[in-house]
Amino acid sequence: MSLVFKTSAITLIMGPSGSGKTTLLSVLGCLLRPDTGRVLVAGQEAGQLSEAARTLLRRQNIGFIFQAFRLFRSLNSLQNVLMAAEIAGTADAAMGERARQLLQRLGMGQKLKTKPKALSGGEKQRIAIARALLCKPRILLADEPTASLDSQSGRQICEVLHGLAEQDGHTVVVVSHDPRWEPFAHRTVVLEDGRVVDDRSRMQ
Amino acid sequence: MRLAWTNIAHDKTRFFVAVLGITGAVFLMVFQGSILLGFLQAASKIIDTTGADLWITGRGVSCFEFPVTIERRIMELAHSVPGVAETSRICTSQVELRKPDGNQQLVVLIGGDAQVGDRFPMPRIAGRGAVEPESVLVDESNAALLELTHYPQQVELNDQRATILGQTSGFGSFLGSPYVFTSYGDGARYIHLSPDLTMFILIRVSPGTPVEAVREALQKRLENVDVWTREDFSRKARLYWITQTGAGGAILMAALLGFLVGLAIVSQSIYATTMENIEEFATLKAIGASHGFIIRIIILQSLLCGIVGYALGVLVTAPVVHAAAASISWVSMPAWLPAVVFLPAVLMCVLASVLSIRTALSIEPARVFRA
Repeated sequence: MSLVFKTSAITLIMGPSGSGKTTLLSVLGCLLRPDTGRVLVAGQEAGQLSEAARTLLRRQNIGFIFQAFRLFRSLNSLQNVLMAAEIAGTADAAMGERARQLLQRLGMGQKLKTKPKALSGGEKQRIAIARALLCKPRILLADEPTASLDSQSGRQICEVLHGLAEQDGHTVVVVSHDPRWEPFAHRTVVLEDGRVVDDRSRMQ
Repeated sequence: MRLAWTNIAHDKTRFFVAVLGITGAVFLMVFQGSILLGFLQAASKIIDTTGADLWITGRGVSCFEFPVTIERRIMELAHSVPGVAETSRICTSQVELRKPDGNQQLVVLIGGDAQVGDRFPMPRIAGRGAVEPESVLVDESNAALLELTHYPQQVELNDQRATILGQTSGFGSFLGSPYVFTSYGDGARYIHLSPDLTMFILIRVSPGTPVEAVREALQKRLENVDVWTREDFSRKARLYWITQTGAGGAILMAALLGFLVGLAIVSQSIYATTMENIEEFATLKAIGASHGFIIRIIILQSLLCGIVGYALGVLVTAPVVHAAAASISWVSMPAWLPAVVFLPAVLMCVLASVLSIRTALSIEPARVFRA
């Protein structure tokens, strides 16, 4: 397959289980090295990089949003978001302020000190989005970001990511079975048995 | 690095177990270290207390407690060597101490000339400085064992009359038999030592004369004896008791055991914490954490347990050593000992992290996409 993911757009990857959606996302996220072919991320050929270099590439260019949220249970909302800056070695007062602003923007300003255990699924996902955005990555990769959410929370997440793509210019790739995403996607790619069977773009 | 602390604090039971393990290990290391240090000091206490620069001993003598006799004329021969300013003698042997009620106790009698040194215990007449004839001193730590309730007290040493004039301190015997101090003349008489013989000859070197040069000259001049600097004889005695009796090995083994038990407990606790949070480590790797970042988190978790456990261990050990000194008078915990034990405690924490680090680093970050 040959795919190019554009900036300022949400690309929705769909397909049945086992079609290779998550593998594609793992390769795009530099978490897996492709067996064959080339993967260019931010101008670098990820498959040729060492593990440390791929880690750096992820840290500097990619934000992840997971179906299971993957928040740190012993940290509160603000600390969870700031973890991205700690990892990047850029945690300072300015980054703390940015984390607060992101949480405010995502409607979590009142729950800065709340731990994940006390948050709803939608709230957890918004914390995860804030964490993914903190270090200003160019690419956002989301794996089933609404699968664990009710319809209202799911729609809010769709709107947030749509806004990030259109207003902030992020390259957003969403893997999902959820048909709620289709109105928000600028492009939909359908996979089957590891091959692209449909690739359609739509002007919003 | 906040995650390190919050992960540890999240499971208080596991944190408590890890801290307890380190506390126990630190306790054993400091306590056994105190025993070892005290044992070493006690093993050379008599030698170190003298003011002599050189010791002349029978050939092959390894420590103060097991002397052989040497000829007294060696004193005169030693005097003829340039640089020798003063000579004195010490004799020692186990003798039987019998109290008026008939109770008997084996004691180690030590007789020394007045010139042996100012710190050497000598039964002197109060206020006059002269040595009281037929008198002895005992260490305060042995008063209970010898059932001494008042001074002076009449006893017999090898069936000869003696007066326990009083007590000294800091000379608790590590052999089990109490030390009894007296003048050389009385000591030689109590142990039936011939006037032609002695056991140790102590030399003071003239001021400004190199001690080693005098030692070499004495060794060359005198046959069938060994000539040691005080420091060397002291070191040789400590080495003898540590290596030849197995005591040092046993004490060191107990300290090592403490280290290993602590290591096992901390390893287990840190590993369990790591496994419990293994998904979080996968997430950290996925969102860009370097190996160094993950290693720092795990080692910091371990060190946090280590610092708390170390502090508790030292707090627990200090009063226990103090209490132990009541029955083991020579046990010694200098202030630097807990500070030194901090190093193996830190090493223990770092080693305890190794397995956890290996596991966390080998985790596949792509597993974060599994729901």
